[in-house]
Amino acid sequence: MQRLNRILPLLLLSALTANAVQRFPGAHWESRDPGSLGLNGVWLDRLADSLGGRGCVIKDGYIVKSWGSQSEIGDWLSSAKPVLSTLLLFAIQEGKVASPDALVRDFGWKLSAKDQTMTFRNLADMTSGYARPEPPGAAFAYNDYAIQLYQKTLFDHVFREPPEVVANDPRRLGALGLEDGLHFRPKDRRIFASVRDFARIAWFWLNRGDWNGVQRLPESFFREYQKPDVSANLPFTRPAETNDYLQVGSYGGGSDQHQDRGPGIYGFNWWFNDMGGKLSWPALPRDAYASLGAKGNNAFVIPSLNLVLVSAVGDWSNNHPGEPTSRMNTNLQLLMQAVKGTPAGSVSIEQYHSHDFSFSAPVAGNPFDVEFSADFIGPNDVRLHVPGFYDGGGVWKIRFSPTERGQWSMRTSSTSKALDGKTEAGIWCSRNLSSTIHGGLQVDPAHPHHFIYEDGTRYFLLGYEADWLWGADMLDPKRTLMRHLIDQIASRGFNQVLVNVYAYDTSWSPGRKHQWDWGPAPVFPWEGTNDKPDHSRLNPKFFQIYDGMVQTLQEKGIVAHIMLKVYNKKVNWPPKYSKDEERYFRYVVARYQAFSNVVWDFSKEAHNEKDFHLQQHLIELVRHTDAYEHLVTAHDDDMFYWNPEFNKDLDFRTDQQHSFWPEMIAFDRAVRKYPVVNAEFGYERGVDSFPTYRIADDWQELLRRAYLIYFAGGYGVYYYHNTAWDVVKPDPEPPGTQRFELLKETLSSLPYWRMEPHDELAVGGPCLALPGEVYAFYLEGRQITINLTGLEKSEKSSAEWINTWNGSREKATIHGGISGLLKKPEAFGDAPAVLIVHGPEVSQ
Amino acid sequence: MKLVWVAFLLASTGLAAIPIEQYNVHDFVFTAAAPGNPFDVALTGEFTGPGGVRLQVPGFYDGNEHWRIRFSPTILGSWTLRTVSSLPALNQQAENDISCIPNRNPNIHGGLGIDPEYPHHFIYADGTRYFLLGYEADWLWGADMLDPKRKVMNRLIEQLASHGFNHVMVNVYAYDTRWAPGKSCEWDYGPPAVFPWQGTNQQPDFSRLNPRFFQIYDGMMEALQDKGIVAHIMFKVYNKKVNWPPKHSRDEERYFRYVVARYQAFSNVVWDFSKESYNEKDNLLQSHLTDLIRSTDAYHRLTTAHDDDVYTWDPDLNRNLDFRTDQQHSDWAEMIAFDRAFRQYPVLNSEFGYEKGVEDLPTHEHRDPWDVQLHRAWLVYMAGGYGVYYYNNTAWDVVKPDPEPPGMMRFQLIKDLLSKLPYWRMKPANSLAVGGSCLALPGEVYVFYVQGSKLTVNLTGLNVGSGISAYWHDTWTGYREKASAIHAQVLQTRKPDSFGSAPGLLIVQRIP
Repeated sequence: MQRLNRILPLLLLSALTANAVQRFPGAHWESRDPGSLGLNGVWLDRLADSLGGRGCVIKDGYIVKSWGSQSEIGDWLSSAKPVLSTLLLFAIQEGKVASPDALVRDFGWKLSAKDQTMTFRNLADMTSGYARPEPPGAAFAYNDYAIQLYQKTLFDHVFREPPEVVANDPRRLGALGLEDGLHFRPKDRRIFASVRDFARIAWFWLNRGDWNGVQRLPESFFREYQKPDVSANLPFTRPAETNDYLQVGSYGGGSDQHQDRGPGIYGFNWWFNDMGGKLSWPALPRDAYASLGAKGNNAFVIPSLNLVLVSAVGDWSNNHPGEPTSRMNTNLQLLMQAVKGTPAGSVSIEQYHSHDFSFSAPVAGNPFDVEFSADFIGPNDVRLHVPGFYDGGGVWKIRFSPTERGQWSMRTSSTSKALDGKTEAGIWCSRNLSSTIHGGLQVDPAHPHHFIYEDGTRYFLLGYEADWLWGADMLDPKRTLMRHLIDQIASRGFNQVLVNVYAYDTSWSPGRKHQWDWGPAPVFPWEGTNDKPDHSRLNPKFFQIYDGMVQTLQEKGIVAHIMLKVYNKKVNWPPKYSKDEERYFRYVVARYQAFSNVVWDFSKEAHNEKDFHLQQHLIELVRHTDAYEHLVTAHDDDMFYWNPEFNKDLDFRTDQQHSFWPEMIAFDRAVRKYPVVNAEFGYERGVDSFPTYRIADDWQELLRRAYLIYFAGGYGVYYYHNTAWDVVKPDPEPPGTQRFELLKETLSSLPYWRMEPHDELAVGGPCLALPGEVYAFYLEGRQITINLTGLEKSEKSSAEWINTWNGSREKATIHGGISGLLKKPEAFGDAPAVLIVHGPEVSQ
Repeated sequence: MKLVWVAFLLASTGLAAIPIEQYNVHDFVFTAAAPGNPFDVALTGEFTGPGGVRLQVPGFYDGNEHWRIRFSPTILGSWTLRTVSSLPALNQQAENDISCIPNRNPNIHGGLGIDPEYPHHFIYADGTRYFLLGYEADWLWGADMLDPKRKVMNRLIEQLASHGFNHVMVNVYAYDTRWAPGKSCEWDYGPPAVFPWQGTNQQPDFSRLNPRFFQIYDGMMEALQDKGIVAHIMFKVYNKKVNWPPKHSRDEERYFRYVVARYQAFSNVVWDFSKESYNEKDNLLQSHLTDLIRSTDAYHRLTTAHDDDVYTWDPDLNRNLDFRTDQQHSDWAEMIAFDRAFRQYPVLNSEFGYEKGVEDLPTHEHRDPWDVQLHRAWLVYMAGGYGVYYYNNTAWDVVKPDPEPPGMMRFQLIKDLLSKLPYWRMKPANSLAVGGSCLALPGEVYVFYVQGSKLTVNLTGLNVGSGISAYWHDTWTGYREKASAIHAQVLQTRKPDSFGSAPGLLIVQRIP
């Protein structure tokens, strides 16, 4: 604040100077480089990135930044309310209304006895009492019924012309040279306008009725009315039903929308920065005011800076007056950084993307044992303590991905002087532009058997086991084979890959049997070899190759389910309870935590680790090291999962279950409310015959097991012999992948996270349902009996049969109530079918 | 019924109160000459009991100018009777001194009802619980019909009572079976010797019932009541060659009304519209006749309709059914769950298999080994349903109870094991087990039925450290073995090796 106070006189001076030669747009707004008007354009870029939607910043009559369409006509919601008040001022000027204190009852309304004293000012100040229990002037109510009364009075009783004619009249707002015009939605007369035209209105407000030298409204009006007009002491309306006795309807919201703001800062539908002492938006000069609408439709006017900011469907969040950390204020801070010309840092990272900060230092002793980490501070005081790692060649790295948009800073700590105390102040986290990246995977607290991404995007897990993905064609710099497999599975909708950090060789294909056998791998994750390892030092080259895999998976929107160990693939692991073991775990976490697409798995077939306390200790090490709290699991470890002492360390269940497919999912869901994945329930045989695992299933069998798992409310992982372990030959594509894709398409199009297993609603196959809304049935036989009593008997539901083998669909009409012995379409033959029934409300 | 004659004498001499044990049957007999068809004479007994309880009990003609009003008092204390009849000689007869005294038969507990607190289960009028174990004996009335001692019938009733069966599915009448047409052997009792109407099945006079037939049927009812066995009486059967009265006829209604008037006073009665009711495609007729049963029956005995999915699942029709009686030959557990989810009422699968005869007689062509039928029964019970045992050599017109079939004692074991538990409070909880089905009152008692050898269980809520009992039961032999230590709430365990291929039942209980 002090700094602001110091620069404010300067700013005022500049505003006054500018006023002397105030510019107004002609046919179009003119643009100027922000630098030429003393603004730092980088911050305006960041403001635009932060807000999104459409918008512009006008400085001294020039556009210094615009984003999104300037001509698109959009709904301004409540931001249009001050426009109504502006039209009231025109009505006063034109003598149609004597003053704001004219009585509304004189304009043709039969107001109730309580409302007899209601004035235009009451309507413009949200103190009319209309539809509320209080008389006019007695209470503040943010009231969309009163707004309807306001606009109907203005257009139908004062001007007596259609709203478009009134508003666009060349004597009124039409005088501003609107490029796209003001439009009124017939049903409620909400105002629709373009950004560039709304900017003209805001500029008109800033110039207090002057437009290009012509005083369209008396300056005195603005002096008198453009200020907080509701006493800070006025109470809020008390709880009561809306009584819209004139049946004017609503502008969009209720008659009492919020009880936390208004008195002291509202007047003639504007919101003011000056709260008396504090400021609504501490970032802005005291004289700022705004028109605020829902869904991020806001305009800020700052006369002292000769600047307006107009934003349609921007990411503003709500107005929380006086809160410096509110999203509204942090956005406005960006504007002020531009005004103040604050230098911008050079590092810009998209949200959820990873960025490496590299530091060189002399190597003394074991560089892998140098303690090195960085503390990041982000918006809203978010703090992340991120461990660094040694990447060879005297280079240490801090791998960071920002979780919040906005400004971050970093400071390193290290036992090595050369790495200690390094800072980076201006790290900017910009909007994530990737459609496949959604932040870290989480368990949905509202639906704990399901996942959800950090940004709220749903995640329907379809897994793929590719334990050796890192190791296929490891020495090919282009990773042609690995990338081909990733492309293939991404194209089929798989979004989670089970992959080892390392494995040495398989029992069924020992040594390099043929060109597609990639085990043993040519690079080892430690110094030395698997036979003679130096577990004290990791091998950066191995992990640099591994980085490429994780990066590629992230780009494709695939979660890397990283298994830190595997017990039966001939790896010479560091001794248990050794420093080497902990170093390995810590290194992997430090290196990959910044990838938002990571989940940690203690080990493939973790049941092989009989020492639960060691396993628990290492899992806690993973959790403790990971700044991002990625999910943690342990593949196939029943005893660990079912023991309440240990399972608190696990976020979801990863099982290997070769029978009782639905039963085990139901069991695990009953043991604990978390997502349940059966990661190994069958083995699809290779199209080409290679030495692979001894059990080989037909794709049909693997697929039906998958359906049983998903219908029990679980998730599944696909296993194909010729890509699962060290034999990696993705082509020809196996027949199962496209059917698994179909499974995901079918179920993920439903509100699956709200659906529960409801087998009691069907005889002839399992059922997944949100009763009354949507039902999915799976049947292998020819007929099924279903209970749709959640739907009205008379209701016709849209239903569809889906062939699980070829995706063909057949529409059906099913009534509510019980339908006995529904027949699967004959054309489906032996293919199991899914029947989907939608209730009427959500029918597609 | 032994009391009847004495009571009648007492009533007619007016010497003392007529004592009737609660829930037991008493006939008030009236004599009159009837002009026209005596079966069409309207006669009702209006009974008034303690607290002003009123029962409107229809009478029936029993031949030889005798009419009967068959009554069983529901409340202890004094009752009175006044008759109302279209025949003056039967009208306004009164009996002002009827005394309902305590029931002395430990097998009688009043009418069967639905437990309002646990609507998937039954309960007797006196609050005694009822764990239904059914037995299909459609021809029970017709075995050795002409033997005054009813040796075969009584032998069968004794045999099944001794094994704990407490619910017999029985027809009012059936003529013959497709698989044993005519008298195919000594043990084949179809076609029966007596016909329920005047005339014959080929040339019936549906306007007049045959009291002699029903007097014989009375004997079966008494024997069942005496043993505490519910008679699940099926009014019709469509595929047993009966020449039924024409549909929608007065004769049809007279038949339904007569059966109800004659047997409603037996507290051990439940009504079933028909064996395989789905054969009646006229659902409105079925609804009308079911309503007729209910309006005639002063005691509101439970009503059901065997195997009629369409009727049962139609909310416009099913309101006059009190419980579900199904015939389901696959998806045993699934269909019970389905029907329980559909409506809160008891669900029976009364036909899920056919245990083959020890001796090879001409019976239904389906013949299952006893262990197959037993397994299905376990699935039905573990799903929260009830089952009915079917033995080929006693189910229909071939009735040869001996030698005793191997399934009987195993069905008894189902009841012995489950009825000792608070089964009415237990619910299917299959999510608590992998490797078998589970019925549980979590935190208190769990039952797991295991066909294979491995079982994973979730006993969350139970303090597994101490204070629990856990036993494995061999469902074939009844052999019991203490379960190895239950050391965790979620654990994997194994059925005892000694059970071999016999499915095992693991019961884990908190010791109170």
